[in-house]
Amino acid sequence: MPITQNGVELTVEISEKAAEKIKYFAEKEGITDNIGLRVAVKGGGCSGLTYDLNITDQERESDKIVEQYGVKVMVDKKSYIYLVGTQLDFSDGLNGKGFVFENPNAKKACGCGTSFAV
Amino acid sequence: MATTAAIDAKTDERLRAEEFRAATERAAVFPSDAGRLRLTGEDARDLLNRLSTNLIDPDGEAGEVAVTVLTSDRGRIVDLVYVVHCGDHQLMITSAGQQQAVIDFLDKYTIMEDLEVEDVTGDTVMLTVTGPEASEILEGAQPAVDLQVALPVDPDDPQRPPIHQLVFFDPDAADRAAETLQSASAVGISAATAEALRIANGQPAYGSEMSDTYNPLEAGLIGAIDFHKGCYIGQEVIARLDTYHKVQKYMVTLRFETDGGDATESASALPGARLNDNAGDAMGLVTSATVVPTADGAELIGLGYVRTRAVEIGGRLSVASDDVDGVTAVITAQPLLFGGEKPGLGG
Repeated sequence: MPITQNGVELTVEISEKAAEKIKYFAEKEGITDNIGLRVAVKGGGCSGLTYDLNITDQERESDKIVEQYGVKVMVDKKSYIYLVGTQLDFSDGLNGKGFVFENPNAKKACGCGTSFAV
Repeated sequence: MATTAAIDAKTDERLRAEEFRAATERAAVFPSDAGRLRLTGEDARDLLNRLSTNLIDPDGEAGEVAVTVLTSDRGRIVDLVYVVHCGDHQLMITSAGQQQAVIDFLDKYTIMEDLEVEDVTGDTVMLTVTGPEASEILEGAQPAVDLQVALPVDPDDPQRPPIHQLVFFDPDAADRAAETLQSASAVGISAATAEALRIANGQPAYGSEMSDTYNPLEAGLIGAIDFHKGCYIGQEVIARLDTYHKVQKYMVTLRFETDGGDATESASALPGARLNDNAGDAMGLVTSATVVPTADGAELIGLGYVRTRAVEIGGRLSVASDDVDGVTAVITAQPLLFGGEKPGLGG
């Protein structure tokens, strides 16, 4: 069942820059077709929950899938509850943080931004 | 003329003193009230490694025992636990009565992981064997046990006695093992003597020295923290406290000097009492107290928390309480249960 806000379905979105980086990493892993990023939430990290990213071309039946800029973001049902409304961007440069999550469900995050609490 | 109750009390006192001496000179055996959880699922160790302070090697081998602290995202103690790799499952030994809190904590952070947690405390019996000769007595007696676990202790402190936990699925087997060990000169001790041993050994207990009020650095558990393994819940707070020497207080062992009165009554009245410096400023509080025998009688000892700037071995603090008068606390040690360097001192 979709999660909505003011009648609009909330999803997980990625920026164009994040999509380009996902394609770059997929190519390095030899994936050229059905390029996907599996985004999951695991217990751990400084604040209790942490993001887990994997490049894949394998969808699962129960996945919530959002396709943007030629990339599929695949999220399992349990993780989706923690990620709904999240925007995934990529911060590059010498001091860049890599993939950056703007997660509206996170009440607080640790200093490095990879762990959060809800 | 002494009443029967007074005679019974004196007898109890003498028995406890004999038990304590035997336990500290040879070995003691007593039923443990610690919780036992059975963890199954291929992600159990990986998840525990991500949730707690010490390294729990996901590729560890059967027989490995790790001590670690579950902490909140504020770095406060949820529980001190021992994780025993039993091959197809993990046995987690928790503090007494903390089983459900630990289960709830693990459940909260289990999202995708393959993990099942079962409280097997009621299905098992556990005996603790401790004392300077505990290992030798166990080796010689070889009681029939379902699982024998040597708990980690400070490797740099030869005075700290070994602690063995014996787990049984059959209560009768536990009784037989206790008899075998007592025949081999371990002494069976009461819960009161076991508590006195705990306090004398500087071991924090949940509800007294461990709770969501304290962090592992304050409780002397730095030896159960791996500062190089990466993130775990509460890691950011704990690492910052250590790096910047910001630990506010430490658990210490105390010896109490009194103006007289009944030591046993004082021991029960002391927990919760404030510790003040000469100027009357609050410097800490007493968390546990007990009476232990000495060469020339008995003494009142305890555990407590004292503000970092007042932690000095031999330092004297006055006890402020409505229930006891004229008691002075002397700081005797700052125990580190699993070793490690004292964080923040002198920084």
